[in-house]
Amino acid sequence: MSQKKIVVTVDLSGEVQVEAIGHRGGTCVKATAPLTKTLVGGTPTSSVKKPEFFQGDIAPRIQQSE
Amino acid sequence: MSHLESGFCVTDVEALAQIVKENCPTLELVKQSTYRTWATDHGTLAGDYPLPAIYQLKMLGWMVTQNYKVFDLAQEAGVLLPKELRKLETEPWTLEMQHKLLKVPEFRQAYQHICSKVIGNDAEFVIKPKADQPEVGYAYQIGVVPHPWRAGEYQLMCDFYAQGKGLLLAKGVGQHKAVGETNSWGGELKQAYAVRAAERAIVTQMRAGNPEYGGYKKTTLPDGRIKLEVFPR
Repeated sequence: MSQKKIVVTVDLSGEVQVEAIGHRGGTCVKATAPLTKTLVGGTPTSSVKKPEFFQGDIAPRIQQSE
Repeated sequence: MSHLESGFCVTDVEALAQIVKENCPTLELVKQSTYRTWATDHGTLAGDYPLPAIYQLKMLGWMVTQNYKVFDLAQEAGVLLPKELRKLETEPWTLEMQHKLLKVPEFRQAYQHICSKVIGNDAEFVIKPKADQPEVGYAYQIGVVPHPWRAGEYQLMCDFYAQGKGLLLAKGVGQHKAVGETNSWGGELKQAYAVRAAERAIVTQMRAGNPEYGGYKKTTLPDGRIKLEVFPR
């Protein structure tokens, strides 16, 4: 797993991208919440959950239900 | 990577005030409800662009208060509005749809109401030329307009016609650019604001002891984007 960090990128038009790297499961949402709330607000123009989002605490529950 | 979100809004007015003061020597941010646009001078908009999403929502909201059946009237005009009208915020109607809607008298009335009574009168703060600037009498202004239902969230609104009649040429703001159907303006101001607001939010979390916020590094990338990397404790 890569080192955990949060990356904020602001382009020349002011569009902000907030990215959680190396987090597993839903912890990324909690980690980035202070920044997404401040910079992106309630209506992001785009929101993408990477494969790691579905790992960690969520994957075992999916396996159990199978 | 696990999660990625993008967008822009203003939530930290203090950060915006700092950036205007530091980067825009001819402008000031003041507490004021009115901001100047084409509609201020002409009583309506030219109608060559669709209303910004926030005003589409306000227009429909006003129609609902007048007991107009917005869905039926839109259907009459050949426009299908989303069942959840709030979806217009991310998928606003197009100019072609607006032309169709404005053929219906009730929509025309609502549009006129929004243009003459709401746009330019609904800000909480305004960015405008300082009183000693030559363009003060004619330049448009940037409205810092509260979001209709999300408290503490604002949108920056500016009429970009003729570079906001000079406003967007001011140092530190950023000119209007049209790329395809997308219009952007105020890039310098918005980028500087977003970076400042991000740094302030990061420092707040560091001081509060959030383990995800141990320190950060700021880098300007070769293409002009600014990257902030936040490392855990």
